[in-house]
Amino acid sequence: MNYTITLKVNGRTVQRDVPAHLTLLEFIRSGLQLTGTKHGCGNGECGACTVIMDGKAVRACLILAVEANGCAVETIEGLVESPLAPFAGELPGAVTGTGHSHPEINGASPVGEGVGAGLHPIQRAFLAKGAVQCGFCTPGMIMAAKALYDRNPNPDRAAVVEALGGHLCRCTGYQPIIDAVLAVQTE
Amino acid sequence: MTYQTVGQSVARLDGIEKVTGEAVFVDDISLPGMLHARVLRSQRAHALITGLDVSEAMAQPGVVAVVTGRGLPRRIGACIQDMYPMAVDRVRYVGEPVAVVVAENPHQAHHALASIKVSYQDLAVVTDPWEASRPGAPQIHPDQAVYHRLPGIHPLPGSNIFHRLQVCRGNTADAFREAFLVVENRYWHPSIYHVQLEPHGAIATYHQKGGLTMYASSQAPYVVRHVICELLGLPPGRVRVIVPYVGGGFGGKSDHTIEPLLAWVARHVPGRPVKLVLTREEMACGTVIGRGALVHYRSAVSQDGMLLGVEAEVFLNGGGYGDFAVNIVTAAGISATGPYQVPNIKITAHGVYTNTPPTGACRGYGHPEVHWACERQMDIIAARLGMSPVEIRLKNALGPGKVNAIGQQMESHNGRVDLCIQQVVDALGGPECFLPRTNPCVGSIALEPGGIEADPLPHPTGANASPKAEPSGACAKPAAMPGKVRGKGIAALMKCPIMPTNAQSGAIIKLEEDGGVMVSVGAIEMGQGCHTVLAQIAAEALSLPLERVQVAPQVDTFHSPYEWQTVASHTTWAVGNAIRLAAAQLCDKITRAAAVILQVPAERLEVVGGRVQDRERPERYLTLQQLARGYTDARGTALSAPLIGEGNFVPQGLSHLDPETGQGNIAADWTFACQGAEVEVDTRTGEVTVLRLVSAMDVGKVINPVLAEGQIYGAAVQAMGAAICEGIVFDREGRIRNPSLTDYKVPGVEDMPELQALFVETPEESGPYGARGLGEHGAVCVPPAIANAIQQATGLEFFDLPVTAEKIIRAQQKRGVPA
Amino acid sequence: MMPLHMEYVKPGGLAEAVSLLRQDDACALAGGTDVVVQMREGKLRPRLVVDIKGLAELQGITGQSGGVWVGALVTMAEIVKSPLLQAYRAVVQGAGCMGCCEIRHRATIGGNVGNASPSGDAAVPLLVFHPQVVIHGPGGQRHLPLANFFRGAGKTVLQPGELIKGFLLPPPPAFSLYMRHTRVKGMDLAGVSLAAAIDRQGQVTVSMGAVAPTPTRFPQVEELLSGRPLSWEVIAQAAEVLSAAITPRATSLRATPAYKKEMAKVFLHTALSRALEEGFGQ
Repeated sequence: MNYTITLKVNGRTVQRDVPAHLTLLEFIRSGLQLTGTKHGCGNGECGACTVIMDGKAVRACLILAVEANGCAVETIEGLVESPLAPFAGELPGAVTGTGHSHPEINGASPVGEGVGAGLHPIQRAFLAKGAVQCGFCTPGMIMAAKALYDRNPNPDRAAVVEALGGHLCRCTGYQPIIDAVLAVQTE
Repeated sequence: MTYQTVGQSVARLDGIEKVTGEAVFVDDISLPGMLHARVLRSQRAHALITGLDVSEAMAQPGVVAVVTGRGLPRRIGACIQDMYPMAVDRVRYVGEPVAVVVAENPHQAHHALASIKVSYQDLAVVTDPWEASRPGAPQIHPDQAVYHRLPGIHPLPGSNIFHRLQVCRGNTADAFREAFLVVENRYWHPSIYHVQLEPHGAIATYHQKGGLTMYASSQAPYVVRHVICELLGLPPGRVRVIVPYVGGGFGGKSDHTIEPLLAWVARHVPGRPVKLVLTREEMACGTVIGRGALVHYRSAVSQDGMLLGVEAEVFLNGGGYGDFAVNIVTAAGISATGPYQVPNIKITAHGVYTNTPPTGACRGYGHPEVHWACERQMDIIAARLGMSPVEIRLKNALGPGKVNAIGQQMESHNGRVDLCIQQVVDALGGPECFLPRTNPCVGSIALEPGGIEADPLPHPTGANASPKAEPSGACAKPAAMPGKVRGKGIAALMKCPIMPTNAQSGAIIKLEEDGGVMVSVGAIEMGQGCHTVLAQIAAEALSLPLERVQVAPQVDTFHSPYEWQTVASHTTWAVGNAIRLAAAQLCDKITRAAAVILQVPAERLEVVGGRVQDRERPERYLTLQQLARGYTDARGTALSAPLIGEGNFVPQGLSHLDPETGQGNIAADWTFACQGAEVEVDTRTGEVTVLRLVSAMDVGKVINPVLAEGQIYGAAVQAMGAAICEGIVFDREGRIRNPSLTDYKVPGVEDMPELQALFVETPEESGPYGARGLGEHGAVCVPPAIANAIQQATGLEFFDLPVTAEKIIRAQQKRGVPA
Repeated sequence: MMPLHMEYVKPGGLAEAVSLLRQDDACALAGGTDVVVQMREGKLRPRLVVDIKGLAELQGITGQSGGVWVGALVTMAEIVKSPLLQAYRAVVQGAGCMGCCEIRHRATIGGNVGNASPSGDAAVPLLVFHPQVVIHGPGGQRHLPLANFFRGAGKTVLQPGELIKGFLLPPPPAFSLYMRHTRVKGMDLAGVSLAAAIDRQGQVTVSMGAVAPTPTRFPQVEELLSGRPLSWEVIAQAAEVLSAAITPRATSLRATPAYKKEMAKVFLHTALSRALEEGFGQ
């Protein structure tokens, strides 16, 4: 049996019929074809499926799609602020507080002027700090960071660690990700 | 030497796609008419299949096909053809595919699995590689003698040993007789998971005209193609393997894993794509696992701390099938002496069939297993001699003019382990920080993993100088309660890429109509940033700004040049070399084309900054754009055709190892490094906090510092997991008890230590711009560095991984100091 | 994979919820952080999922005659932030270390108790506050002490149609603390855990997680420690009694019985040392 649900996804109202067993993650990926949200484990242990629901970071694999009826959901696809805006210029520069002098990624974009326009500051910080490798944990990490900044514009390191706790990354060793999330406020 | 692009931390080419969610991974792809597959896996570790009835499953809603191993034409394998893509009549590990349901949606496929009836006749199970190597162990491949295998693989028919490598130099008997000190221990590195965040997945379509197209989350599309061609009897031109972005590999997506299985399944539903994406729990048994090695290590040392001889026996768990583990055995054998010169060597490495899932490549394979032994051993030796662990390493370090275990003489361009050691030591506070504070032999415990009869350990000289010796009952008084102690430790490493002697790499560079270039390689971007680094090499070689260089992100065996596979930390080195060759050829074609137009001898022309110009009169030039669009003269006659450069690289002068002595030229280059750790141990709970991990690596020229650091950070934290919390637990029946991330814990953000990466940049003669590979190295000796730090902090010696809170408490209790 | 033929309903009121939950194979769904995992693993195959998140009677944290009412739907994140609950430190600590941020936004206290895991990070510390569980069901409302609520691993006194409405916490004790061992510092289930509380009369309460089929209190240890100044001798004796009293199963992947027995001593000692440091238990 199917249930009609109406929810806002990235600001747009969508209405669909879904079976009870469908998770919010399956609904977002298969039903809405928003594949930026990733399926890493299916039981809430990895964080790759993190989306923001009614202002809070949640794990989409642990929520039934029917439960999201009437909710507002934000996914990674909703983050780019203004796709048509001019290229925002240099990526963010050096950040204090890591205790080391790390080489910074220089401003030159390998993809050229104007591309990447309108990226959210968190996305730009991830690029600037080398916080992206395979990219599979990245959307979940960024959404967790976004939820953090939405409620706390000046998080300290402990708040960042708390917000990213339970988000697994096997590529970066986490340090560049923490640096990136902290770098957002210095932008 | 100054470079324009090489050496710069340019932003990754794939960064924007990955931060926006636009990057496409296999599971993000849907094809029209796509079906979904789910796998019924054996619940028995070792059994004959006596009955398999799929008729009921066929009748379930949505089910299109149920595929079994019946009718499989042949065994497959890249090194040893010892497996079928799914069980035919026998299963050798829990999780081996027995049947596959193909249905209209994944839910239907999953629920139909329950209707399949299998009956088994159980056989004796063995999961420990040492036990499996003993005479009388259950025979897992009774007919291994007839398997087809590559040269250089030495099985012992009639046993479970599918490959044995011996490395012999000098005379160890004399060395051990003359030694001042002999130290002998057994070390165990358990099996671990890679835990790539992206589960393995593939989509395959068997075409009605014959042939197959597959999207795969793979590090090795050409290996996959080769194996599928052999399995299905198709020519390479009929099998197309496409690899979109890969969400982490670490070796676990190298060789072939689920792809031949899915190809066989797709063969049964021609014309319809079939998707198979493993669940997280299936990844535990449905692909390959890593490590799983017992190392029995014996060192002969002179009074002044020189290594006189090493005798080592390695028993590597191959699991149910050995095809993927052959090269691990070789790697372990040739690197068992670590980054040291040892004149007398006798090493035997065995690859052993057991009833676990197959062991495959896993970040640094072969090297972490033996470095766990070698680098723990060095600290134990140093403590017994009253030497500094820094000094003993520097004394024995390989370097220019010295000879490694397989008889290769180190040249000055091979790198400097001594400088790496010094950098780590300085970063952690200087050599005095590493002196042993306790006599490790007092209360030492060997958590004996195997059953090898060892000689009793020699007893140490010198007094017990434990600073924490004051006995204190848990509740004596708060001040006396043992609290937290800190320690520092180092470990050094030597690693070479382990590859066939003919591991080929190709590169194609197309001059585009705007004067930029498109680079095609067979190397997979799985997070390591290779496409960015390769673009930098291409930009440098063509003297182009980086934004004029694109790298085709999807590898496609129909278009991309051949690549052995993206493993062994060899991409920057091998594919980078291919790109330089391709760039040189393209420049040559450009100058020859321009010579006709400009009426200047080609030798006088150079390609600089997007132009081809006369060296003597730089005002005479053509832009690359003018050439690329098909230059026409005033009459409209075309004077240039499309320009494409190709580069073909294969390592030079490698040879198989001598089957008796293991001597030979199998390693194309070497990377030396040192890693250090500072830890804090809570002596009440045993909990270990890793405070710092410092790595110094001689990687030659660093092409992109941020990406290079990222490789080291990630590898170090991954290996920290192996050091303190990771390990697969098998029960007696060979079932994995911790397949999920709920019970297989990997380090999270809260566990992260302060990370530091330092580089020594001794230019590598054979590498592009002096670069060596860098990917796995950061994972090689973090576990011994951490255990050495724990030893300094607590005086406790550990021989098996991971060093958990439990083991520390148990060791303290054994020693008799109450927690 | 989730059960294919499952139905979902979100009742508008408590009475409707109760009548739905009386049906065969009905299952209450609150935050879903346990229930959805169990459904995916096939351990739970409900025919009907009753989403109780809309029930107003199960919400809220309010002061009540010196104590506090905590609705069953209160999430871990709400517990951590609640000014009223800060005096019940152990449960705030337990809620604060459960899972991760995203889990704490969804996981409810009623769910954690109702799931009856031997190691529930909210259930174990909650025990030391002597709460009453308020149960609503077909026969109306009933109360019972939380200590009497658990019947075994995953088993409770709840009858078909019954659900936890909330918890009545008596006035807070002077001191409480929760501690646990995990294999990594981040997200993990407790391998062994302990909560302790000391009230203003010097009554000590001790509970442990992951040492028995249910979160468990230890009256013999409490008796030994209560109503007298805590001396190191008494603490040491109590630690030995506690360690001897537990008989953890040997099959846990998270900690061995020997380690749990050792940590029983260490944790009790640490908790009571902390109490003394903070000026309690003299």
